[in-house]
Amino acid sequence: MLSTIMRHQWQQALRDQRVRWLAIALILAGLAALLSGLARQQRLSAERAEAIRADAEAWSRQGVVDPHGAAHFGRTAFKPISLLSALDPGLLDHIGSLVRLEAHKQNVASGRPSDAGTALTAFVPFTAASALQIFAPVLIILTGFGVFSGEAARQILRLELAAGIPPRVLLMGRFLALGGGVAGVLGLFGLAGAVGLWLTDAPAPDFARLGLLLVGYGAYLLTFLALTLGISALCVSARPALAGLLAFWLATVLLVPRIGPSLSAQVYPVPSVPVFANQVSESIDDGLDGHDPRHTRMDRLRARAMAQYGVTRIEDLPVNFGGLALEYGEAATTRAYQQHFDALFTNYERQSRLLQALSPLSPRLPLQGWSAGLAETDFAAHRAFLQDAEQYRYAFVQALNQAVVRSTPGQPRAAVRVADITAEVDRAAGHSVTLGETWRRQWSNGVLLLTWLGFSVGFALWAAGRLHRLS
Amino acid sequence: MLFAEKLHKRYGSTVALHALDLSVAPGELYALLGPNGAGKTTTINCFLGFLAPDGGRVTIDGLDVGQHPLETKQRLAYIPEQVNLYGHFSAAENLAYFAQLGGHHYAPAELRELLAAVGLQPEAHERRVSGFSKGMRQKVGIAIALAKRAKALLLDEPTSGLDPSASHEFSQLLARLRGQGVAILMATHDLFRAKEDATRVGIMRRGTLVRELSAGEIRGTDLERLYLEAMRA
Amino acid sequence: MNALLTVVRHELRRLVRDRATPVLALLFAAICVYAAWNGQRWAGQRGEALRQIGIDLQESRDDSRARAAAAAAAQPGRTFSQGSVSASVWYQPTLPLRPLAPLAIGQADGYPFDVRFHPVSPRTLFAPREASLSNPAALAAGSFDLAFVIVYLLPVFLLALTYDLWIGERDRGTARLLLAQPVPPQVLFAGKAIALGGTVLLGLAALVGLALLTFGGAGGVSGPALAALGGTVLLYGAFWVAVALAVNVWVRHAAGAALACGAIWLGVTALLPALLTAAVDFTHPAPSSAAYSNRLREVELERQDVRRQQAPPARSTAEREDRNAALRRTLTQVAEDMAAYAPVRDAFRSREHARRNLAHDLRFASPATAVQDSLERLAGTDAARAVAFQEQAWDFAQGLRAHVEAHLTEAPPEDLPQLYAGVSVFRFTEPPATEVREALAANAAALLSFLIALGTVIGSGIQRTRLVDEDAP
Repeated sequence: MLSTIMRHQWQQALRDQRVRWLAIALILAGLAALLSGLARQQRLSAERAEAIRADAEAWSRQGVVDPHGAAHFGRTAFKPISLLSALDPGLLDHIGSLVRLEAHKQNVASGRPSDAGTALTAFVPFTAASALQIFAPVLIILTGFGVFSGEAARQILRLELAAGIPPRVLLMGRFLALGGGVAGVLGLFGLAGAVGLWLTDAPAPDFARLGLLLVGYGAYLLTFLALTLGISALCVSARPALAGLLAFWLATVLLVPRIGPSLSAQVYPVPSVPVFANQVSESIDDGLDGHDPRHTRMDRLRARAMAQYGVTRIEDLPVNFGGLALEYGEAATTRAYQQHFDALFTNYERQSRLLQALSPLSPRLPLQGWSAGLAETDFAAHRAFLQDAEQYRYAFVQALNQAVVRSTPGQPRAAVRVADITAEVDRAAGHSVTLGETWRRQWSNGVLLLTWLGFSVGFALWAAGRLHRLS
Repeated sequence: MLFAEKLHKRYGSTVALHALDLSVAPGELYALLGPNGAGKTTTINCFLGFLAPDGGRVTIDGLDVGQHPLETKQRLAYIPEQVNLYGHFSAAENLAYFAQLGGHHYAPAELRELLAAVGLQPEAHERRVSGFSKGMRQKVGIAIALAKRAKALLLDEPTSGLDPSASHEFSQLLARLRGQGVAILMATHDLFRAKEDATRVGIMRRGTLVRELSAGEIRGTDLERLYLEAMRA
Repeated sequence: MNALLTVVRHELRRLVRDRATPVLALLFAAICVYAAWNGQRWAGQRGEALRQIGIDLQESRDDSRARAAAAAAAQPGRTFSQGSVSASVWYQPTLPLRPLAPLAIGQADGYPFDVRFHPVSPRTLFAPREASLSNPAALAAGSFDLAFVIVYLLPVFLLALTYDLWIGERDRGTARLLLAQPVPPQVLFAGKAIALGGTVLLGLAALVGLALLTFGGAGGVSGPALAALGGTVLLYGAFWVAVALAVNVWVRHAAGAALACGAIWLGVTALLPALLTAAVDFTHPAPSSAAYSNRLREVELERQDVRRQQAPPARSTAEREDRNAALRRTLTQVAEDMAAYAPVRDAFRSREHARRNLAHDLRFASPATAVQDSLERLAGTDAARAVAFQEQAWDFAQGLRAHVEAHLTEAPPEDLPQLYAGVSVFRFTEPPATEVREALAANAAALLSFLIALGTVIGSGIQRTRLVDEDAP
């Protein structure tokens, strides 16, 4: 019986010209977006590889120079672009793609793709993710709103109920039939994604990420399907069913995901760039607690160094005190930067937790987190990159400072071949968010998505129970 | 007053009207009988200008409907099978609106008179029509037609769904209008009302008028038998 | 005319009696208030940052003056020149806010609003800078300002109240009775458009304006700017009313009309802009900032090499005492550095420019993007103004060196206060009003042509299509 209902529903959905063409258009547009996303990923990765090479070349071309001067010349870290960003670019357009690594300073990532835009930039770009997050629910609503509502559907329903088919079976049959369509569409995206991953020799975890990603989208779209069928069962006429569903879509897919971040940014505000820079430089000048000015720190360093080497005059130190001061200063400024960046990123974390708390208002919120998290295009991935970059910056700057420490005391700083000194410093791979870490961050969003699905299926079954009364 | 000549209308390959000749003089009530799909409503739609005929001519008071849409509508009142009104508005407000569109401004007292004349209870005049029964809405529809003081009246199944006494009141009203010289064209299934009220009867089948009966002929015959014969022919 | 008035009056009364109207109006008002407040909060933060920059700059100048005074006290006979003072302080040109800034955050987060540099090491002018530390998640979601409300939500509310403007009559069954009256259908449609579209639009636009003026803190806005804003909103709204009319002429059922309106809304506000963005990305991808950063560093290395090869000139005693000569030499060096960097910068910027120009031209393809552009221009958060700021800051830095070289006459330490007061100040020159007006007019013309096209569709539709359902087969 269930399979009869499913088959029938399938035929109906396929015969609906409107739905058929919209579905084809959506799938084609989504796949085109996926392809162009992949092309972009490849282009950016090639650009990045070239940039890394050019940066290394410039670094070694310095030759024999003053090590501290070289630390100021600095290096650049370039953010890796994950393959799955082709599916969901997430925050990629709005976070910097490179960080300048230099002495005394921990820079903010710059080179955001959304920089230097125009009025067009204010609009959401079309990606495979936006096709599935924004447009696919509309298609589901259009396909499903008239399944039980509307004069013709009610007439058929009366016949079906009179034939003794339980209403819940009627609903589940239709849910499974249309759900099969949803699975088919996601399967197409999955297939295209997997081929893309395979062609680019992606590591195994990326396939797992793709799979999990699609499971999330499946839960999300089935949520919309169940809600649509439920509303359709509750509404006798088709018009309020469609109006209600479209209003729900507008609120949960467009409004809440837009108001949410702006609201949470108000609850946990972040400083502007100049204010932040000011805070950092105050911490550097006056110590982290504000009561340890730079000159007393320097006096302490002098005393400690003289005690360590058992001398009474700085000139008698067997090492270059200038180098010691640079080393010490670097550690101090790094602590100050770290403290303020930690505070800033903690605020981002708080904002995203608040946003997650708004999930009962919109299933798209947990999906956005889940999708970008798995595609490694969320802030967690960016922060991992920043940490790697900072670790490297600190290590190479201190290695250069060590070279100053070793140079002849009392003499002007000797020039050294900097490339040799920093060759020893490990350069972190960059791709450091493991699947396990992503899972630890994202499982709660997964649970939220499944909760939405459970709730909506429950609602649909409850609504089906009322079909008897309303038909 | 109402005049159709060699009227043709096709919907795709289906012929809805075929060389239909019809005229209704002032003071006459012409009942158009026929099964569903015979072309009764299509005829009325042509008089209303809702449909442009594929051939032939429709005139009202000598004016061609296609060429003078507004002038002919000025001379025409129309009561559809289902009188649908604005639910948020009272009977009097609905009446006032349609009357104004027809070019007539009535004082509140005049509106009440019109509504009373069609038999709507005074307490219903200021009530929103969303709670009205079909019969009550039909009465407001008649009041709208009366308010237009038109020379011709088109009725599309006006008595379907009315109870016998409302139907009777309606007949009396039609007789009064006829007495005032209004030409009335009524499409109906109701053989009894046709026999009672009509001065002429036309029986339609597949877009053509297969039989026309004058007032005298109607009185003396068994209309039902004639109708069934016409259908079998 | 009488009939038109009758229809308008009737439709207004229906609107008032519709239970959905107050609910929608309240909802829209609440959204407007939040958006205006949000925009105001953003503008407040930006204003505070600008103020902070001013304070810090003044503090650093005061420090510099104190140091100079101390140096003068330690070295009797030490003199100063306007040029040497001007060369020793920091500069930080900023892009001020315009009064309507709370209307649209626009591109304000995508362009730097300040640039800090020193006349003898102005390399920072090249460095890509973050304009904000906002959570990227908030940036990606897009700002919830009045521009968003106008571009996206105003049409939704308009369509919600007008999507079945004629089809409602069909569904209700009043259409036949209406068309049986001696009133041309054009008058019925016009009456409905005026009453529903016009009134709803005016009401919604008034809510936007009210929210902007009361909660948006945009009190000091000039009349013409407000008029331009009003005109833009009304023209855009009229476009959507025309969409509703066209749908009502061509579609036969309420569900179909809702669908068509929704599809057009989605197409105009989401799909079309996304396609335009894709077109820009395809033909003019964003120039690689990684490559740019590397090119700059290559030039930096080249300059280092050049300086190392130029053996430091043997300094005569007289020259050693002449600080001005050293300053001149540094300035020359900086000028050479800048000249070496300039081609790299120009190449990067010209690619950015080409990309921006294309995007700018394509905005006409969708009413939504054209309106967004107008709103950003009115708010002063548009790309053109931000780019003008960058160019002016660049020119200012160039001019500064000439200023230093031209003012090297020595003065006693007593003149230090005047010398510090004489330091050049950057003042942003707003792009000429005609430029903004032209852009607004071009956008308005685009909207108007959409409106005319829709008008034609509606006009021919009213004449050609059947406005009632015939009951016959």
